Amino acid sequence: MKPIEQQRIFEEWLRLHSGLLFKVVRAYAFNSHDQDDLFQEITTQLWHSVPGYRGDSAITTWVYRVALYCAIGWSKKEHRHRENHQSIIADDRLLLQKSSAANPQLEWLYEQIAQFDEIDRSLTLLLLDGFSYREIGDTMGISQNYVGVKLNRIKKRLTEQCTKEDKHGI
Amino acid sequence: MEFEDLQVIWNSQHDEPLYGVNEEGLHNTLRNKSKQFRRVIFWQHLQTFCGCTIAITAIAGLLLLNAFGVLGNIGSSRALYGWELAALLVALICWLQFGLSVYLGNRQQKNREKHDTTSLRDDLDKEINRTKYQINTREQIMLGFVPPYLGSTLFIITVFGISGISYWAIVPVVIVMITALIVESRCQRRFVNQEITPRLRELETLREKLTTAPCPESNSPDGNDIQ
Repeated sequence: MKPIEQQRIFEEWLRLHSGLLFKVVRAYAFNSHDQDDLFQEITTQLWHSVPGYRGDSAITTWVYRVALYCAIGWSKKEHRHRENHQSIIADDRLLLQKSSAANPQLEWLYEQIAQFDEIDRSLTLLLLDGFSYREIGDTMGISQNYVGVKLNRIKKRLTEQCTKEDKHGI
Repeated sequence: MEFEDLQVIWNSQHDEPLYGVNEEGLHNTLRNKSKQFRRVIFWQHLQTFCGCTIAITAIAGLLLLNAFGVLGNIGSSRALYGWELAALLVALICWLQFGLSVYLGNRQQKNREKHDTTSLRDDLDKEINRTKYQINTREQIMLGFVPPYLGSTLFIITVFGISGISYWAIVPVVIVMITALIVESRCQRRFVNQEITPRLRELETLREKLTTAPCPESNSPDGNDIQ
């Protein structure tokens, strides 16, 4: 694939699916520097993944998979990333948070997701974004039944937590 | 409070994106990362192939000079004895074997990595495979580096011989070569223990999390598709 074509596809994916990337970044990284770092990692992986996309799955599924895989790996070696952080991004901030978009209920939901382990976080994001059990299973490489069991637990935990913490106004 | 209510909260972020992207910064970062990656790979390949080319050219050159009878006419040098000729041939084979094994190993690994992956687990398997390949390669480095070190030692011994340098001078050369091989091997082992093996463990833990069988007391899936 020619670099120009790769660039065009990458930019299109970024334009269409940046919202999806923001969700993954926010679920796995909890301060602005880490979010920048993770976003940078994900976009780099996404750029490299462009020639490998054969159209067997929806672009959303592909982008989600690349982003989740990268985020899981990143959160495992978070400390190393933090050490390298200064030299990598210098003074170029990549993500600019919009203050108008602050929503305490959404903040709470992200906080709850952050408490799950890496795999459950991925499952929750896919669930909330409306992927079917089959699609989640295919994306993660696990059986549909297992997805069902895991997601039932996640749903139960989230709703219980939500009921407990009604002080957040949910 | 039902899960559907949480879904509504989640969907509210679609109305207005939470972040904006600094596109210029992102493009700069991507360009720099790609450049760094290409540079590292390029230098690694260049070092290996330059080393092989220099050694093979030097050995082959010496053999050719001897074959055309030029060697005996340069300065105080003399023609090669039979055992020196044999040593140079062994050295040539050692270096050719090393260059070829590095080249074929890299090509095989590249081919293995070419296979498409369709799921996160495939990606993890691929990464685990790649990490294991790195560990295997580095753990066998002592054996893998024996041919080029042996080839170089034989070449130096031959050059010393035809230059009239005392054979006693070979002793420090051999000691340096053996020490260098041991140091190289230890460095690689430390790198494997401190960097690569922990990464392999992390990857395997993640994979285990994906494949852990559900507990018997769990609820069965309520259904099917949520869409």
